[in-house]
Amino acid sequence: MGVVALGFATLLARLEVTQEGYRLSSLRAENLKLEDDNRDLRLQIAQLASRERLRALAPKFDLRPPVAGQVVTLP
Amino acid sequence: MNAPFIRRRSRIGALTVALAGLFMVIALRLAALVAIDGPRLTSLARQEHTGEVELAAPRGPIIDRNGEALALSAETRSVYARPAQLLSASTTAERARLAAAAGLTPTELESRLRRGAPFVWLGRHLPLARARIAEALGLDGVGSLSEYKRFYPEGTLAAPVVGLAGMDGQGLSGLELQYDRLIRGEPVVLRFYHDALGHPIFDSPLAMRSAEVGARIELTLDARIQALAENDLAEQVRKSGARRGAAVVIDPFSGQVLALANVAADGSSAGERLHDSATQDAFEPGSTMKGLLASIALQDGVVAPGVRIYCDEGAFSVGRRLIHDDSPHGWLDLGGIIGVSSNIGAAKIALRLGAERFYDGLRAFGVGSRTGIDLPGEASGILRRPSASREIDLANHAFGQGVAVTPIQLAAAYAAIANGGYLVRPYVVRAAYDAAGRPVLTHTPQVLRRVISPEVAHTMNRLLQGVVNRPDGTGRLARVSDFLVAGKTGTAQMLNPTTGAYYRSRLVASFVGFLPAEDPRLVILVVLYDVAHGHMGGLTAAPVFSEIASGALRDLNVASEQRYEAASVVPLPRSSQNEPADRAAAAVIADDDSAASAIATSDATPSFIGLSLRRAFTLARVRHLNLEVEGDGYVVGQRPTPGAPLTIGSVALRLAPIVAEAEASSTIAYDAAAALVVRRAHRRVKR
Repeated sequence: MGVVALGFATLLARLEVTQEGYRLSSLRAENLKLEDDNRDLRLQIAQLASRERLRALAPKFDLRPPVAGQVVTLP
Repeated sequence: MNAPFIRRRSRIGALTVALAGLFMVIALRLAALVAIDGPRLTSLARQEHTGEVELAAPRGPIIDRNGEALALSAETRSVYARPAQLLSASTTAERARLAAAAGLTPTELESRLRRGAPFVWLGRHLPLARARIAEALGLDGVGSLSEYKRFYPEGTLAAPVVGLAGMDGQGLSGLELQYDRLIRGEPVVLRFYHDALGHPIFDSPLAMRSAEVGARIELTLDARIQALAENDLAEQVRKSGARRGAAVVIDPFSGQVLALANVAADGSSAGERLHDSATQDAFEPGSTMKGLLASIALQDGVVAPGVRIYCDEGAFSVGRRLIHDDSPHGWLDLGGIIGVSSNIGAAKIALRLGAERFYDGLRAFGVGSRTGIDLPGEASGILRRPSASREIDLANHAFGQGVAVTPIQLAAAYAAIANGGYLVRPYVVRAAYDAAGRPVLTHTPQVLRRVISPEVAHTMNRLLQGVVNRPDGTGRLARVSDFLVAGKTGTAQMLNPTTGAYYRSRLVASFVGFLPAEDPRLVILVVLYDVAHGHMGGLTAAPVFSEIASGALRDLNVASEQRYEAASVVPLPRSSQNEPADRAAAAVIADDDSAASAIATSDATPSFIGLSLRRAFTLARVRHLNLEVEGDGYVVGQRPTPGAPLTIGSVALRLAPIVAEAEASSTIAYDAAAALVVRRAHRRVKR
């Protein structure tokens, strides 16, 4: 009887480990996806803020580089 | 015993023997399975229940000194096919849909599939959305892999410096190649059990390692100054008709490269990402060489600033060759020779110096050897050994013909003049950090050697200011509003590689200089290759220098020293016993000659505390004093002390580069000059 109970407990524990394994696997995949999404978003930020793009957009908003005398640096 | 009993016993015996035999066979088979087939069967079982996957590692980002991204990696998918499997399991219509998803025409796809290869790529580095369309078709023999692609969000900005990474994530040029070992990540192979449907089951969190992202490379480049340099250079390349141009901006004290620009006639970065002209191409520097010649001659004592040299009214023969000046000159001092860029004056100085000493001096300035910048493929330039030099060669070297330098070499050599005499190694990578933010590489300024003394550097600084500030100076267009500029123009004829003679009307125009001259923050070199006759360095390169310099100073928040110093000396408190000395220092700091003259006759020892060596010399000249100098940097101590009666006509100065020492010095009075030093130091710390 005791042997049967021990075998049953072992089976339950093994089942739990397998379930957790599945969960870890899915969390891993999610983690990888989030890391890649993060990299993609950083790339998008860099591309949106690139000089070439901003230079092309600036005239639309009436922006241009400062001319001499417009910027005064204080010590 | 009766007969049935005996029969039963014999049947039992036979059955026992049969069972024992059977067990024996099973035992033998088991032993054979374990001992002989064991390893093979274990391996088969493992293959059945376990899987492995290789996770690609993204290359680390490359960012400028302010954190702006110049190179980043992002995940993409690459779709592949096993042609035999795909062709047998799909219809033409299905393959047409696959072709559309992979960005191919149906004909292209069919042609790839029928090449006879067991494996073909249908599309590398596809956006995730398109790859998912291909996967969703569910065709046998089609699969996809995750790969990382390199992106350069700033387009061609600093492209030759940043370099290029290949399709398979390997560095091919520039920093991508130089630091490939650090930038390249470490892929990881994960092994796991999977169920009957192939779903992975990780039985331990320890198995869940991620691929190691490559190191983040932090540059000394400033993307704003880089963009400024590239834009201004491109504009002038277009206007002047030059074939290409290069510009270098470096910090003369640290050797940090702030910009390294290459521009071709079409406005793009020359050679895009594969060739960096600023470090890999040598050119004949022309008259910019005169700055180095004068420094060497002053250091060797063969000339003095006041010594006048006859410039033969524009024509001077060396052997059978005639050397010309652009306009005839008679007697010129060293400042005049540099200022008007007299070839004859320079040739005479070089002849006086001698081939051996000139060669040694140029070698000390780094001409003819690599600077050691951390970029691949740096050229060493060309400098002939003196044994091969004839007199005419020596004269030609004096005005930068017959010798070739790279732009980075020339900028580093002028940095030595700007920083008081030290040749420093230029570098473009400040540090590298691993994914956890731990530094894996740090570069600090590296002094290679002292080339000239601080006194010679100071004299050269003044002479080079004359090139820009003299009414007849060749570099007048390099002036920058509110800042003192020191520099030198250069115009050299280009060599015809076929004939070995110089082109008459194809020139390399250049300007190299530094500013603010009284406290140099930037050394800037501009070179325009292959401009037509008449496009002298002072006319074409100097204005680009001025544009880059004013923009860079604005971006670095450098305030005008002239305005600042004049303002800083008036309201600060000073001790009464040092009043005359303070006035002297203040007058010198403010460049106020009239005030300086007024105290020139005072009998008290002026205060040199807090002054740079340059200004200390100016004050000493005004007071007709001799100086004994010890150390570099700013004056932190003097004997006699400020305000003491002047008896011997000589003052001993102790200089130190560290301000903490100046502040701790018991002799220092918190006067205007000291305040200036402290503020300067704070500015340096903030950089």
